[in-house]
Amino acid sequence: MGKHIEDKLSAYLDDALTTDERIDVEEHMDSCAACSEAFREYVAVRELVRTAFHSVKAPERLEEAVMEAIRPIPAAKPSKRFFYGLAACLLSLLMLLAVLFAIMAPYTTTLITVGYRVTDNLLQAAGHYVSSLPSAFIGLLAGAILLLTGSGLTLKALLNHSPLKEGPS
Amino acid sequence: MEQALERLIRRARQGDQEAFALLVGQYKDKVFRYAYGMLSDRMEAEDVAQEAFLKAYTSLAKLQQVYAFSSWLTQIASRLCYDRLQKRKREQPTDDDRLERIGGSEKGDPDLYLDIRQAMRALSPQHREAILLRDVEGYSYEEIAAMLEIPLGTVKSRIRNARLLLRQAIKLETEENHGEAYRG
Repeated sequence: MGKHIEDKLSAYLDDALTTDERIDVEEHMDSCAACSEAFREYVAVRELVRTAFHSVKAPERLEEAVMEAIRPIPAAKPSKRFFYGLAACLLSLLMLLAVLFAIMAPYTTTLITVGYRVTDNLLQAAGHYVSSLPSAFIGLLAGAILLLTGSGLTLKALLNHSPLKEGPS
Repeated sequence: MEQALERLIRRARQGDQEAFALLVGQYKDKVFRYAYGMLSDRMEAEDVAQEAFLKAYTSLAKLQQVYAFSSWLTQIASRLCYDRLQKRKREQPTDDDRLERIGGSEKGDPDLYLDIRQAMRALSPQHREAILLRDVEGYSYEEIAAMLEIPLGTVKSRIRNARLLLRQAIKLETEENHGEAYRG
C-alpha cells in the first residue's frame, strides 16, 4: 500500500501533479481507505465553501454608493479652464507680434528685401541639391513624414491619457 | 465577451462614468464576496468593496493589461482587507460582537454555511485568502502568485495547508454545533 499521500491530495484536486505522480496517488487511493476518504472530504469541503460564498451577494446600494462617490471626480477631458488658458496664450502672442511689428515698421522695406533674397538663394540651392541627389531628398521627405506621424500619435496618446495618478494603495 | 469587457475598461479609463458603472455592476459581487470572506463582517466588507472600486477608478490609467482587470481589482481589495485586519488587530475588538453580524439572507442551508464561514474565521488571513482565491474564485496557481507577489511553490503549499486546516476546522465546528444541539 505504501505510505499515505495526504500531502499530495491538494495538488491532485487541482490537477497539478505530473502524470507519474497522479498514477501513484490513484493507485494508493485504490488500496487505502483513509486517503480515499480524506480526498472525498477535500472535494466536499471545496464544494461547500464555493456554494456558501457564491450565495453571498453585494448589497444593492453598493453600486449607487460607488457611483455617487465617483461623480465629483473629474473625467479625463480637457476642462473649460484649459480652453480659457489656450485663448489667453494666443491673445498674448498676437499682442506681442503687433508690438514687434510697430517697433520694426521703419525697417520694413529693408527687411522684406533681405528676406526675399535669402529665400530665393535657399530655394535655388535646394533645387540644385534635389536634382543632383534625388534619393537623399526622398529619404528626407520620408523621415519628415515619419516624424510628423509619430508626433501626431504621441499627442493623441497624451490627450487620451487620464490625468488621475493615485496608485492602488 | 472578453472584447466587450476590454472596450468597457478602455472607455472607463477615458473617464466614461457610465462604462465604469457597468464594470461595478459586473464585479460588485466578486469584490464583496472576497472582502466578506476575509473580514467576516458585512458592513466592513461593503466599505472595503466601495473603497476598492474608488481606488480602481482613480488608478485605471496604471492598469497595464486590460485582460488582468479582475485580478488587479482583487489585488486592490486584498490590500484594503489587510489594512482593515491590521487596524482591527490594533483595536482588539471582541470576536463575539462581530459574530452576531455574520449571516444574511442567503438561500440554502444557513446553519451549514454559518459553520463553514466560522471555520474560515479560524484560519489565518493568508490561509483564508488562499481558499477564497483558489476554491471560491477559481484563480490558477500562477494568477495567485502574480496577484500576491509570492513564489509559485509558496502558493501551492499555502493552498495545501489552508485546505487541511479548513477541513479540520469544519469538522470541529460541525461536531461542536451538533453536540450543542443534542445537549440542548
